[in-house]
Amino acid sequence: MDYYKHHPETTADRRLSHHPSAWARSFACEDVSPLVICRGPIRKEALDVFAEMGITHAGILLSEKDSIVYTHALAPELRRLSPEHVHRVRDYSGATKAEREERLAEIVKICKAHRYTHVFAGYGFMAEDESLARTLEDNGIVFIGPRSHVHAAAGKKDEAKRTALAESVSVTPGVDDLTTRVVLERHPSLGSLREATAALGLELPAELFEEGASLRAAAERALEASYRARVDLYSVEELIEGAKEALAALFVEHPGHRVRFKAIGGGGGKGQRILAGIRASEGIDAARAAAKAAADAVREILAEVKAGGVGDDKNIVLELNIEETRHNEIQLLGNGQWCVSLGGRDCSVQMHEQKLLEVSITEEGLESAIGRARREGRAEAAQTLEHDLATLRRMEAEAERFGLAVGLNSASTFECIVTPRGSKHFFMEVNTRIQVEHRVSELCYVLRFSNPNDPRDSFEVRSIVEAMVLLARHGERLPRPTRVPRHGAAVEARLNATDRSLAPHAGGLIRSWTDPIEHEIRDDQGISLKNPDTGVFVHYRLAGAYDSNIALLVTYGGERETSYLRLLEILRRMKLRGVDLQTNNAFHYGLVHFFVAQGVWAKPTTRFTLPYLTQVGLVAEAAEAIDLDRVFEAIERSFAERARAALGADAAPLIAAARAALQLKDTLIRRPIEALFAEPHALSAWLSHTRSAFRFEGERLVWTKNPLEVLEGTYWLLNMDHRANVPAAHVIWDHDRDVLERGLGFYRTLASRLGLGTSDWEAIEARLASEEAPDGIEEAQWERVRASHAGFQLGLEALAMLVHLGKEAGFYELRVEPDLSITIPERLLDPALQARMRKVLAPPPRTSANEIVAVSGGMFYAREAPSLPPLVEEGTRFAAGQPLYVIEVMKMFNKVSAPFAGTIDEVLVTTDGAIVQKGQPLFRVTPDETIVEETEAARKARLAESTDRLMARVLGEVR
Amino acid sequence: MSSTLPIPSLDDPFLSKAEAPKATSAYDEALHEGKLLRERPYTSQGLAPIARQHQKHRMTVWERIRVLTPEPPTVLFENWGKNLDGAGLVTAILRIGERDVAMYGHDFTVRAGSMDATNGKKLARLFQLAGERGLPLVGMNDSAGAYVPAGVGGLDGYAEAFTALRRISGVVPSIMNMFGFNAGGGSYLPRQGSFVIQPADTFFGLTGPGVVKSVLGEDVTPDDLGGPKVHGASGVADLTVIDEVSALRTTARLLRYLPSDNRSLAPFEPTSDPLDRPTYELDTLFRKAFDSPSGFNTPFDISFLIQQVCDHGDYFELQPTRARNMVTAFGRVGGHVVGFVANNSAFDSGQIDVAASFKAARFIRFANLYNIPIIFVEDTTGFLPGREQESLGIVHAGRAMLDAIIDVRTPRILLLVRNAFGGAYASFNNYPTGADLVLALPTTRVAVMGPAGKEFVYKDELRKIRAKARQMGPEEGALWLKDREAELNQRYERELMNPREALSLGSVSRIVMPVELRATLGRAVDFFMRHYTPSAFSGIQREFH
Repeated sequence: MDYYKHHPETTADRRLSHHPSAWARSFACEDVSPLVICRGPIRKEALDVFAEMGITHAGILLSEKDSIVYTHALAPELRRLSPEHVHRVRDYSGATKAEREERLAEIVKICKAHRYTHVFAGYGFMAEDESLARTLEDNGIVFIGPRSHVHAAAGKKDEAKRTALAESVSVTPGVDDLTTRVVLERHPSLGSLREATAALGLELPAELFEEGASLRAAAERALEASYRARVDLYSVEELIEGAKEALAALFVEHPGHRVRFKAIGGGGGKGQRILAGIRASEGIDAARAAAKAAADAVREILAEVKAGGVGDDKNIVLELNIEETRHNEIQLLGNGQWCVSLGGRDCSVQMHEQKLLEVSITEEGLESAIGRARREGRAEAAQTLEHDLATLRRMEAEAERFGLAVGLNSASTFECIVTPRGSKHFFMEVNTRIQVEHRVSELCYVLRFSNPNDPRDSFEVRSIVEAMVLLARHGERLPRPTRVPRHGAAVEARLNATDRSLAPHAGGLIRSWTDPIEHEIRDDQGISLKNPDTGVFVHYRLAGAYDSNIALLVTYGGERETSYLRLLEILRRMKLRGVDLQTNNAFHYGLVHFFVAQGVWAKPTTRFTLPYLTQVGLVAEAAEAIDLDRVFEAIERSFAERARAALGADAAPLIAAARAALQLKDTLIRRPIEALFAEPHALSAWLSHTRSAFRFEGERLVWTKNPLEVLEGTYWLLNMDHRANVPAAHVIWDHDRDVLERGLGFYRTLASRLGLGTSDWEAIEARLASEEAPDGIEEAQWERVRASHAGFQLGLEALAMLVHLGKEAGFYELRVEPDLSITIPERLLDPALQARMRKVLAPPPRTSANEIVAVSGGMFYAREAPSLPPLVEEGTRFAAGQPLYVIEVMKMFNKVSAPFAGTIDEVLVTTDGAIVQKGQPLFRVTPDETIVEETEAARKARLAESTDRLMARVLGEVR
Repeated sequence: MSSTLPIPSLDDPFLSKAEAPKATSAYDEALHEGKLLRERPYTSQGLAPIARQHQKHRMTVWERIRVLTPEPPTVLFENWGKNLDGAGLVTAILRIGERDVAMYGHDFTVRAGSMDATNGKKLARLFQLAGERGLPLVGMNDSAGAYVPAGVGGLDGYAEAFTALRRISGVVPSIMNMFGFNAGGGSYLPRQGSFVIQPADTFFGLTGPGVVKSVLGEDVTPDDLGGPKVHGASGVADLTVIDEVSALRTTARLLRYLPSDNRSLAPFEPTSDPLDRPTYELDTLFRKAFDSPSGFNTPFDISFLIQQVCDHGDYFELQPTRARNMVTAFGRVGGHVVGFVANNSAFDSGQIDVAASFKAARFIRFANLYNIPIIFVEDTTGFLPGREQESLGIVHAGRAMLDAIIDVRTPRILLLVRNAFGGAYASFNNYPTGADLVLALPTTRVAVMGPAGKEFVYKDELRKIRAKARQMGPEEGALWLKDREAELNQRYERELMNPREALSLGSVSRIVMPVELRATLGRAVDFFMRHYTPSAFSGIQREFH
């Protein structure tokens, strides 16, 4: 079964023209000719859905950055699209407002020339662009998405907040009218405002400025007019001053809180900054001082969302940052007359404001989880889930009200933040487009459209893209659908090109990728679409010109638990191989194991990821300090010592047998441990997975599961369990499997002879401790049984070593409480530790101490903006932490700070925008202090010391 | 003796030891003996050497074979050797996809895969069979070297294998995987093959670090002496990969571009990528490059051109980590396997140096022998001059490339992209050297010399100008002279650095526009291949190679 090309959940014949019902047939969409103007996984998904709907004339825009930035990056869509349906453009959206307008004109031109009746923008930058929707409308082209007035009312963060207030939707405290305030500050009277608008040539009705008219209303109208005329009523400097003032006021009002700045046109983490406030003991002076940071924030935000030009709407929303929040969102669909919610998604697992894992929240799912918690006697969990259910219902109701109020006529998402305890929620924003994670919702509900005249006459829609096309084509004719539960749960993991610390890592080459397995929906832009001629995987260069996402891995199941287990299986089996390739696959694997082990309904907040990573870093650091050879030496020595203590000179044959057994089991035990040590996220997965296999009695580890079974589980966890037709080097070696199977078989027989289950490990072990043969087993055989037990267990102390290592690194302190909240130990919130662990997980490139090298591949800039001087020049003395250069990776402008203090001797890359490789020297420098590298001998001594200390604990030799 | 500490055992005491069925008749006994003999090469050495191989993160020969193909191998001689155990070398016929492939692989678990006279003969028979039946050859080398107790026998073994392999060189293509630690003959033998693939954590070379230490007193790690970095940089290894699995998968991938022998064509794969797909991206790329501030002096990564021309953008580069100023790659155009030999100005300005010459020469000779058409892509200002290159023997290297080009008898096309100056033009598959078709992009600049050529073309005018400048006085004269020279530079570029002269002299068939590149090249390849009959390359043995 090819789960890539024909997934039973995502592929279907969607042609309504073939529907038995005449009423349903009237909603056929085959006359729609869409042009897709976005990139990413949604492009391929949309093309698939269009084709399944019977649409034959569909085309795409293809940007230069998608097709020609790096070799081997030929857009995979081209493998099956006929060339006449591919339209080249420079960029999908354009870098400046002028370019964007140019692009709009180009899109209209392409539509007219090639007879495209509709435009689909996915979740691209253009999807929420009011001017795109308006331009298309003006040209008689239908936008498959909300109408322009919906964008205006719901898409802009300031407008949306006002609508929300009007619809009594719960919102966070803040400032949404900054630009109006700035204009009023500058023009405190109607007269002054009128003069200013006249001077700019803005044509405004005279009554606006009549005696007694509202100054605020006039200012708002004047602002709108200025954006249309593309002139500025205020300068960026004035905006900054206004922002500082408003910020200082918010700080004073809400001490102890940080404030979030959001560009009105931002999204997906772009155009946002969070600024630290003051303590309760401080006053206005401290607030003013802290508010100075607004200047950089405003400039950076405007640059990021490309709204810094003349005539751009530069409004920025200031909002109290709710520190511990969960991010929930409601999927909406509407036609202007009705609005239906398709349940929610919990997107709290994020990093740098980028979502990583999204899971469905539905009434049905929560109800069943509550029932289960009650049955299992977990009252606290049940109570929390009940709160969640109430919140979800409120959010869905508010979302539907909001959608109706703005006349939503397509898909949108209503985003909320939810407090981790108490379940208060605040409306955050509406994304007037389909979201990346939309599949999670479409897998939970089917839309059933029924004939108002005959309820039995109906058709079903199982795709949000499909629903959007239907809404665009038939709009108000579509009756309000009912939502019918489909799967109990669905979850999506974003597979990104990031290193172990989740920092973007571009430029890798994928040479092979295992095929999708059952239950796996892989939205990967077509990367896995094999060469149609040869059936061979086409190498794919991760250009990273747009973002770090490689694919969306989606799965579904009866309950959330099933979905998570399926996701685990997908992540476990998936292997990407290539050159310089780094993905967050292992991170997800470790994370999902964490939830599966501790409760899939655990409630991480948006700040969970960083402390979790920090904890994984601590485990990695501890593992780095272990010398495995020494571990096995210690095990052997410990055995020998015990043997000698018991038998004196007679111990020799025992010691020899032990050595032989250890030798035979060497790769069996060592290999998976080496693999765990090589990937900290796999080690994290293991620590979570084995959590139920032991308990501690004081310092003593007591296995509650046969360690040999734990070893078998370790092979499974590492995807190294035996499978036919997999290279031998990727799975357990045959002879290791023989020993393992023999051992497991031995314990199975033993358990049944003892009348016990194999899971009654502690009871089995207690029996084995006795020399006396139990009933039914002969004395001699019992002796052999005990000998085999000793043999099979020998060396598994190395697994106990892993548990002790995890415990000492504090791994088990990060835990889910009975009420489903997650306890994050305070130490994991220390920024210094977080920074250090980031380096443990992803060691920065080696520097020869006399140069500064690029931290990542990307575009190098010496300055923050073209008008500004370079950050450093020849002769500049720089301090540790001082910004040295800017590197653009995946549209994020990263200011890179000096790792140490020194002086710039020479600037090696002199062109702004030059593409640099990771590790490429950028500056020749003289450091203030030279870094001392650890000598091999010192390293050995350090490892010996820490290994001995740990093994003393493991082997119970702690004195 | 206290039994609180039993003697550790790895047996299952509940399992009764299966007793070997007793042979009840002479016939049964013969069958039983036969069965034991068949098992011998797999079991004779017991578990320990296999475990040791695995400890080194290496697979056994049987495990390696299973990565190449799920179908069981047809082993040619299961027991040949004194101990009836196959003597550490497996020769077999494998079924990989639709093709029969001759394979040899050292079994390191038996005598460390070492060579003796028996193994030499075994290899020789395999090579002979491959040559006669037209089977491509895959080698999986993992050998400690000559079997010392065999004495001169081991050396004779190598010599016999060398000879047999040389005899099929140019008859069937071969891909050699370098696993483990191979020294001496264990390196020379595989390097006689067409392509060498080396994974990380392996060594091969003349001698190991031990000998180097004892002879030269040099301390060197195996990796620094003969690891993939070293051989990847010198070209001794054509491809370097991360591990054994990757090597074997690369082998399978490469095999899809190779014919089975020198009498047949490389596998044709009908394509769903339209042959007339416009290559818009090339247009965009050229525009970006040539309209940039550095104009026609802007480096251009030629891999993009190859990617755009090939079916679905898929191609396979050889020696991708060295001499990047010359790209050699296999790709398919309209389903036909094509070899690309392309100057790459994005590296070292695309100038042809010793390494690039040998890289190209080697690739061209291979394509020529195995009936693979070649597209030459020219964008170079010439051979790299200088003392270093002369001392490395650039004359020899350039000559080797030129010879290889002249000898080409398969369909051969030249595409001029931009610069084609002097000796580089003269030697790079033009009509006089035997090209079937020479195409030029509008950006082509064919000239005897680059901008310096004005000294010769405008010799008289320059003399007059310089004389006049001298009369004008030092400062004023220098300024005036600079302007005049700049004018002449521009005039030179306008008049001579273009495809006009070459077109007028019939050195170029026609101009091709960037967007038509795939269509034009594809149709040309298809035309030539329709009228090409694959055959063994024959003729006089020339001096040199």
